[in-house]
Amino acid sequence: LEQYARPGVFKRAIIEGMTIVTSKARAVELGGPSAESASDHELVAAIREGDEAAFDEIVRRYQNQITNFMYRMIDDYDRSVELAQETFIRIYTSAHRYKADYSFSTYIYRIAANLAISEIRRRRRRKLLPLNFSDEDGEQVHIDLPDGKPLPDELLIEEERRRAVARAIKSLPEKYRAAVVLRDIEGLSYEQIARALNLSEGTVKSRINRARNLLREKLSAYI
Amino acid sequence: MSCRKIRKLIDEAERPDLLMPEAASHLESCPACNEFARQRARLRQLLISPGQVSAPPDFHIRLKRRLASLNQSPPTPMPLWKLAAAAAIIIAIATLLLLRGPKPTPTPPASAISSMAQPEIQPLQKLLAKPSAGPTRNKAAKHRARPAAVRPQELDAMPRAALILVRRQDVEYELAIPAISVGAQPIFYDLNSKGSARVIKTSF
Repeated sequence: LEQYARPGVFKRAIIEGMTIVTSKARAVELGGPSAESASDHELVAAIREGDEAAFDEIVRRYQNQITNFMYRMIDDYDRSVELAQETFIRIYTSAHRYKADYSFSTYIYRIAANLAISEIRRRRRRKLLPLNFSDEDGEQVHIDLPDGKPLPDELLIEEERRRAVARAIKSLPEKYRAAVVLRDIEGLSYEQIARALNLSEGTVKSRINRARNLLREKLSAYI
Repeated sequence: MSCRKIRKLIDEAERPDLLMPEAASHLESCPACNEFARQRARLRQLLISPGQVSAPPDFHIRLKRRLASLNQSPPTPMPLWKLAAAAAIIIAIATLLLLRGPKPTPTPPASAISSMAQPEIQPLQKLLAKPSAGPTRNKAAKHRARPAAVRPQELDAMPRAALILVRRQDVEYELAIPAISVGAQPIFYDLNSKGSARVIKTSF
């Protein structure tokens, strides 16, 4: 088995009538190199062969990043988790469609961004009522539901700032939102963002610039 | 470098903490650009300040459960909009085929033609004079055709680009196509009646 479990090699070997599927991920059980050392491309190739251990490794690598991205896009944790799972389901069911032309992280962010944008549009169609009310002066006031637990001042300030940032991001048009979240929060390069959003690099740069200008206005109290 | 260019450099830097030496020296001497750089850095800091949200501990278990139920669930019926789209496409294709009419029958091989009884060759003029005997003419198409740029008597002098033998059950005639066209509409004229030109077909 050693020869089939060497790094970077995924083979279906028939040894004396037995079919043994070997992969880096499966090699963990076989005492070979671990799935952790396999590249994303190798893992997707193994997923294509039906290797569930490779899929588990991909999930382990990206679950936090994708959940975080979803959360920053839609500001709803439970739904973010569902959408992050949906992203992995799509990876699993359409692994055969993945082409290794660019990095896997770009590919997974492309799926996640599409799902997030669809969710934003769906929510807009449903016209979910935000907890915004007008005060006596006609100013919009956002109401967060209290969790009933007393918070120290520092935590209150921190929580208020977190809410302000979330609101500011949420108020951005979706096309700006995805670009700026991928750049300033997820830390993707302009090239990766361009590929993930299927745009030119110039368009991505311009959208990020506009998004930052809008955010600067909305968060001026904190800057 | 202008302030505008410097700000573009600050905004588009792949690594915001690393600036080109020209930009860095400009910031030292330009308070406005310095303030811009400070605000951008503060904004970035603010955006990442809430910290990274993590997936819940049971993320993997829930995902596996969803995948398992996906494999067990029966195939979902085609959504209504997809059915409607498919029906619309089928109707459009059927309509198109109906409008185009039946395909012309293929020309028999030359040997077969020579063995057939040769029908009388009639001038096109004569055929066209009898609407019932000639091919059905599309009135709307006739009105659209305006071969006014060429006078009929000039057609004979023009080089012929193609000669078409039109064969029907009882009659056949030759059509010459000059190397001119009006829009996309070729002009046909009858070789046997000099000087006459009639549009009998408006498009290929």
